Amino acid sequence: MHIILQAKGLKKYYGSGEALVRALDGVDLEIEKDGFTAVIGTSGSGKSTLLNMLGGLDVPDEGSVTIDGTELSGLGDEAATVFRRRHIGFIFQNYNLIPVLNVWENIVFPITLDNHRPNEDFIMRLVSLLGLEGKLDRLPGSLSGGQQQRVAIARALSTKPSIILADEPTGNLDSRTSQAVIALLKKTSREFRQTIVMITHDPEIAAIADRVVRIEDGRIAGDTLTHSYEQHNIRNNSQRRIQP
Amino acid sequence: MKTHSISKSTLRQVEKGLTKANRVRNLFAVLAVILTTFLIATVFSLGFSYITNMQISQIRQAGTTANASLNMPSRKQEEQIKALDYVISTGHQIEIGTADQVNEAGNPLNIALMYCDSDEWENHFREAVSDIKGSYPSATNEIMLNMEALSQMGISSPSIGMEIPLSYTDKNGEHTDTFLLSGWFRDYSGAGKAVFSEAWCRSSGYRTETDGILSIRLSNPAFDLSSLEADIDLAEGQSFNGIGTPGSSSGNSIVIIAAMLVLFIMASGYLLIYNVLYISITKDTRFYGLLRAVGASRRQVRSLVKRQAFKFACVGIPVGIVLAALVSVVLVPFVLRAGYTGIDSKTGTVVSFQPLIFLFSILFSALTVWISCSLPAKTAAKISPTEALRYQNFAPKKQKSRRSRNGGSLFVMAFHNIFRDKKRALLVFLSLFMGTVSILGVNGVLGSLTADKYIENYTNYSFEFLDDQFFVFPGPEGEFIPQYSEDFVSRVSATEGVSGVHVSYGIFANLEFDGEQFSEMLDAVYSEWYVPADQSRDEMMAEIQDLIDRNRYGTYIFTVEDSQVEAWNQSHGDSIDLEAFRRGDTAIVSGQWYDEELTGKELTFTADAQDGKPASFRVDGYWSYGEYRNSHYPESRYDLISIVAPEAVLVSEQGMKRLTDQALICDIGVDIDDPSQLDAVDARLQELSGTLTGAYVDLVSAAGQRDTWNTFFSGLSVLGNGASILLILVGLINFVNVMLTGVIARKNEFAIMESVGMTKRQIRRTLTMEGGLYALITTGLILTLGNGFLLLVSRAVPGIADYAKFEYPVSLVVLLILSIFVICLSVPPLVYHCAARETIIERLHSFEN
Repeated sequence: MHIILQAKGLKKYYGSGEALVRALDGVDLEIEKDGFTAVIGTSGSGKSTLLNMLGGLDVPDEGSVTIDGTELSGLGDEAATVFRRRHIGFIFQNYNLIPVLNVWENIVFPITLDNHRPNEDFIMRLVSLLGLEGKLDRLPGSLSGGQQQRVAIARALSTKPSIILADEPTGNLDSRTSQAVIALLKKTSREFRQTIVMITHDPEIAAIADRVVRIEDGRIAGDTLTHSYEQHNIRNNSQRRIQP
Repeated sequence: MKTHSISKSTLRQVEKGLTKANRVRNLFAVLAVILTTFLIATVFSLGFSYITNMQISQIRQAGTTANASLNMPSRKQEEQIKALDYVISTGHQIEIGTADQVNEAGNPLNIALMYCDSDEWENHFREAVSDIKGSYPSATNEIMLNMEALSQMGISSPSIGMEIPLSYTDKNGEHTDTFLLSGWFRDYSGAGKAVFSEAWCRSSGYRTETDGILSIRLSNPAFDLSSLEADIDLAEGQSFNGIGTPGSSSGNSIVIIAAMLVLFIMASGYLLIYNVLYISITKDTRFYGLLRAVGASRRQVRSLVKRQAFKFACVGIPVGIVLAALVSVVLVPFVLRAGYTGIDSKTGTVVSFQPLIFLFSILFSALTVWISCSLPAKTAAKISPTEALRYQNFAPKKQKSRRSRNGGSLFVMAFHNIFRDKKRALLVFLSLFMGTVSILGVNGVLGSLTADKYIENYTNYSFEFLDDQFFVFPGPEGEFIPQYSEDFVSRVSATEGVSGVHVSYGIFANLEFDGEQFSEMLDAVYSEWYVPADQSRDEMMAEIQDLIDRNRYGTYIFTVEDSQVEAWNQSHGDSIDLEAFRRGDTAIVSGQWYDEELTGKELTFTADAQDGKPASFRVDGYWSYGEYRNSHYPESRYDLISIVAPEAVLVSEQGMKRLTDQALICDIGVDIDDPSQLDAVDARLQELSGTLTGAYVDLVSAAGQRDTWNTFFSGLSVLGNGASILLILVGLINFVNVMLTGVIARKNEFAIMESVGMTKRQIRRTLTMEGGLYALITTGLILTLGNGFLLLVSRAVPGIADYAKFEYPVSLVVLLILSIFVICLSVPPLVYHCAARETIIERLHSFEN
């Protein structure tokens, strides 16, 4: 079992005295490679704060986050941003696409920032898997919510990151579109053997994940493997057996 | 369907809340209104002060506020003139005669004696003079003098009631009387004046009907005498004469410049205020959408925005006016006085304060605020509740797709960012370009109008004593009177600080008419110039014959120094035979008409000398008016004699001797060693000149020229430079404002970019490139359109003043372009640095909420 992400004793407090809010209050978490983990919890439980800490978008008051052997707190602002670009894929609830770039440019944006040429075959595979073939020249404003989120998924996968962090990716979508998007997310992550940590408050969507971590009042209140996990393991093991 | 709208009181509460919630926006908007009001009021104030000064200066030069005069007016005519609706006032003046005595230095006085009735004194005279001490004479033995007259008489500390002995000539003959000084005043005519009482006039038999002149002040300064002539029947020998200069064109150009500046400031103010409101509305889009959703009508939303703008105006305009008033009362007079350095300048300066200009400023500022808020108000009212929820700042609204694959590269992104909001880009380019080009234009014009160029053009020497008899063609009525003696030349030469003296002699000489020799010149004159088209060549010849018969066909002969001919030869390839010229065998014709045709011809002159012996000269060259400036050329002559005879003929001293030994000193050029001694030498030569009494003595000094220049153009220079500074300020504020609002509005977009891996350094680099591109494109515009504009300016410059020479302001262009680059490259990353202090999460959240 390969641990790709490890969080130790994460704490984040806001305010002081009676108004003190313990957004995260000593969270320890390990994420296995290739796994699909759902983090669930009620509103204000601290799940978004946890995700932001894991992705280096926010800094914990205490504790550490290590991704693929690199401790994020040891990196400066610039280095953390570069690390995020290369090793973490983000998917946001409100897509966060760059309005002036078209679909293709949005997808390859993190690669362009590294002054690298995108691997067109790989990007086109992503594009066809996510059903975005006819939409590459379109600007985000002209796409539906589901289409925009598929672009965001493609962008998150484009750099082949170590881990994908998704913050309520279906929060702005209707249930049918949500199911379709999650199915695609899962399909692509399987296809490209990606590790996913996804925040959701929807139990149905969480059930698709291999593992469900429940957060309450800034602490981990439950951690269970789902039926999907077993299926995922069986398939992984059988694949290993077939390989010479 | 009738829209259900929310109540007025609710709307007021909402407005209060909005105002409170947007403190920074309010501050910027109020500052924009203050700046606009301040700039408009300052331009009005400067322009008005300048025009007032010009008018006073013109009135003082003319010596009266009257615009026309009529000699020997009858009572009936006077009544008719007074009744005309375009006549403001009338007054009587009588020219009595001249002083007829010498001062202690032995020089004859040059004082005109006159009488003004109370109307003339109060309505026309008082405004044209200053420093009046005492009162107008009332008793027969009272007299009032101007300071020039006092100075000629050698009175340095006058007192009321002091005795003034005066010999004078009037229509009754020569008299010597002792008068009592009733008062004195300063006027700006340069001539001595003595005014007598009404009682004196009556006792001496002077009457306005027979000896007087009626002065008339018209309501329209750009007077047209023909309307007076049409309305009043004149007796034989009577005519209306114009006084002073009708409506100043310089004043008009100031009005145009000020109007253009005000328009530019209004446009800039509009952009500033509009920008602040526009950004505020895009920021509050959701809020306005919500207002619409809960039932606010479009009109209510529109008035909500306008009411906020009204509040900005209520605070900003009074503050701007107060600031401008402070500047007008304290700074403008100071600058204008500093500009008018010549304390003894011929016309003095007056600084005025006009409350009316503030009323205009308030109106124009209010108009600017009104126009600025109209469009944002409309935009806010148009927001639909559903759109508001999906609204994203700066998202391309109309464009749906773009075929491109490299939009993510930093440079391309910077490029797209510029033209993403075309209105915004246009605003930046317009404000940077207009600001820069206006500065270049103003400086181009001002640079062409420097005191140095004025002096260089109008004076060949540091100082020049001229004989003004030679400005009148062909000389004064009667005999030429020598104005300078050889002794005077030696005294000038011996003056401390004087390094060299150049004397030129002149005389009017009759030219022997030779129809055959002059035929080419006359042909050219007849075909090209001779205006009365129905006149035949014979008629022209008859006119010339008339001149010959009256001994008026001729020209001025001046001596020039060998060094001047040598200098000419150096730049014109030895075209003049110096030896022959020195010997006095040859002459050079000079002028601006057809004198070139005379080159090679033999001219025979007879100077009005005792022997009357003719002398012939071969014309060896032609010096055009533009290339050789003789101080005695009248400014512009179109009379027949200047066309059909050479305007001036230049000979060597030897040549002059061949013609006459009666030539007059007409020009003493004075060189000095040390330019810093200019004012000191000026004072010494002025003193020396004060001992001369000739009516045609004229000392032209570089210092005096500089003062004259300052009197007329320092106001323009103050206005121009002031305007330039304002333009730079407005241009910069516009650029910084656009960059600031542009970066702040894109804050969330930068947060998104950072969240997916764009480093702050990369964002700063993109913004720097964006600024660099703004600078590059602006530079391109300056070098193409801007230079085109400067070309137009350079063509217009000679029309402003004949000494104006346009010089391309290379250093200024380079300096401005460099400054634009420095500002454009540094401001955007600096603004981003300030705007991106919060964490990415905070910035992302502030957008989501």
